[in-house]
Amino acid sequence: MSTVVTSRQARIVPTIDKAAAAFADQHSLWQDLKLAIQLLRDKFPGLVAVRVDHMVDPEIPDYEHLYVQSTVAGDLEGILDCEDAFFAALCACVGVEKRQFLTFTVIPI
Amino acid sequence: MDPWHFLIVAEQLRDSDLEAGRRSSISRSYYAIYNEIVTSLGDRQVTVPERDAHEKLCRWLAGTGDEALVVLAEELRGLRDDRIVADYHMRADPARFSRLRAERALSQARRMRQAFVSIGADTVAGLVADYLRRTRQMH
Repeated sequence: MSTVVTSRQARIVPTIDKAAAAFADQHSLWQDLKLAIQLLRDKFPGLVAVRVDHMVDPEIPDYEHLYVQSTVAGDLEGILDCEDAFFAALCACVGVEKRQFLTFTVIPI
Repeated sequence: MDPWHFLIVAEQLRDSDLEAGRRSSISRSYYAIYNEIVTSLGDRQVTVPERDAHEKLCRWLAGTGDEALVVLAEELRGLRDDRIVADYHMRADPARFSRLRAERALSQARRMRQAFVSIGADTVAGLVADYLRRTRQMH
């Protein structure tokens, strides 16, 4: 698994919608979000884009969080291996009290 | 019903020409793995209450502190959000519901099941029960 961040990956700037930014402010999530995005750059050699949306859960009252969506190029099994590595690193670096405000997914292309 | 049969439906819908079919495939993949775990725990007297069950299951798995279960919980949370978007967000970009995206949900559900089986349902139930005892939560 490559952990070398190329200059192309390093240049990927996440798109964060207004509501997501406000939510990150409200819950002091910027540091953890920044760390998580760096981990995405580290763990996904095929990372193309990152988008962060504010998610209001339609089924669980008062449950809001940030939904981080990574667009990744590559073969699917390789991407899923990268996801495993990403989540392992995330859980080691970001505490559960902050992770409850973040979810992650991959859009393979 | 065997909850894993939802994955058969997900496979059938993955190649649908309709976006609605591929959205439903993502949704079924989530429910296959969610119900697989909930049912396995329930069979071992660890019952996830209906209220906020999806969130509780993830919290309980993460609460065990077991490295593999913590990762499983995070993956499940992400797949659930994919399901929420597929089921509720009608104006979402259709490109997000490609055949490849549906295949990813299927593959991810299979891998999560593999992880769950590798740890062992009895072990998972024991770890969750310990977590609930530690935190004095009723189940």
